[in-house]
Amino acid sequence: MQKIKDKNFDLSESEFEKLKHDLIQGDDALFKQIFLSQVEESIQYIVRQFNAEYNEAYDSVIETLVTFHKRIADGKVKHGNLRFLFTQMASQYYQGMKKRASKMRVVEENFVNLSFDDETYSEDQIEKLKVAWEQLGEDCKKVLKMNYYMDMNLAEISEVTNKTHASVRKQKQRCKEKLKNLYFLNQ
Amino acid sequence: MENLNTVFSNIETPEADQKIGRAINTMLKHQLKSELKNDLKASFGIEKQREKIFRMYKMMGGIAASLVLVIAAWIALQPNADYNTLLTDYTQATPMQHPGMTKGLDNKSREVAILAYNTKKWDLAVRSFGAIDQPNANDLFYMALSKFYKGDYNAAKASFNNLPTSNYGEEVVWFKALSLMKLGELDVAKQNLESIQPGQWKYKEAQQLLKQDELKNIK
Repeated sequence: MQKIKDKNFDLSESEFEKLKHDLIQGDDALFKQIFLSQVEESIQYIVRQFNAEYNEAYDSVIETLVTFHKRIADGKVKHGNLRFLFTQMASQYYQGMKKRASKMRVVEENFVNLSFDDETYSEDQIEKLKVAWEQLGEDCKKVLKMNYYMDMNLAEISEVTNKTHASVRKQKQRCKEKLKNLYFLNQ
Repeated sequence: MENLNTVFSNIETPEADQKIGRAINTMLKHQLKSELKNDLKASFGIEKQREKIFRMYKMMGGIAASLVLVIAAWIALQPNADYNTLLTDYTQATPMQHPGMTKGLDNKSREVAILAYNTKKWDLAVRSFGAIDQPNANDLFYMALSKFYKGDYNAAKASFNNLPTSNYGEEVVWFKALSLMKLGELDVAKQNLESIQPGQWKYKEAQQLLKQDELKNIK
């Protein structure tokens, strides 16, 4: 039993489910508590394994944290061997970074098509969007985050939020309008 | 590269919806990344920038040291370097490098101030050192130096005069003397230069200045 917990950053399956649930609800305190405490270990692993520069290893681990955060919330990462998965992913990021490749294949069954941030928009536009986002109400942030970031469809959101499908659809539309107006207001 | 303005101008289509989704995803990832970095630094002292800064300091320190040696050698080879040339050379010598943050003294304003200082953005450095809540002796010293390098010798003089005791005592005497000379207050400047003892920082340079008529003739 302890061996399984070790493989999963000391998380039991039910604790992992709670972590996932918290992430869906927009609370990432537990995620941070668990994953940030093993960052140094992962960085050192990359440094040792690939004779990597500390900063490059740091970047790989940060990218992995962000990806892991999203994939846990998406339900694409499962309890089993999180430690191995995390290390593998960080290694993949490091190797990809070194190869300057934009996309990599990952053999681990839990995830495929691991990719770097798709920088489709300029930093400037993303900054403006961030300002608009901050001004958006919490309910809107939640529904848009669930839909876009966590890849939840409207039916799933309505289940989580105890709202009807139609009301979630309307809310999403209203929130998009609001975000758009705030975005242009900050131009 | 997509244009978010165009995407937002028509949010009705499924294609626009996907694009908005991508933009929100990118923005949230940026946000999360920066949050994680801040938390890592605050809770575990893990950060990337510091190592980079130190490496940069090391490199810049090396360059600075080489430049100082070249300038010193050049000055030594100038038998009749006049007062104004010496003063210009000394005031325009490669700025002292800030050694970087001390662990446990993390502070956003300090971080910005040090970066601004080491990249010679003197105005920003003065403002940022001034914005530190509880500045220590080093912060105040580097704020005074920022004013000096900025060319605001009056402000620099005032700051050097009001510095608490620190490890930078010898440096303070030298830079205060230079500020005073720049302000034409040669008598006080001379006293400062004379207080620099053999073996102390800038002793040779001080002696060289004291040999110049402009200072030698002051009683």
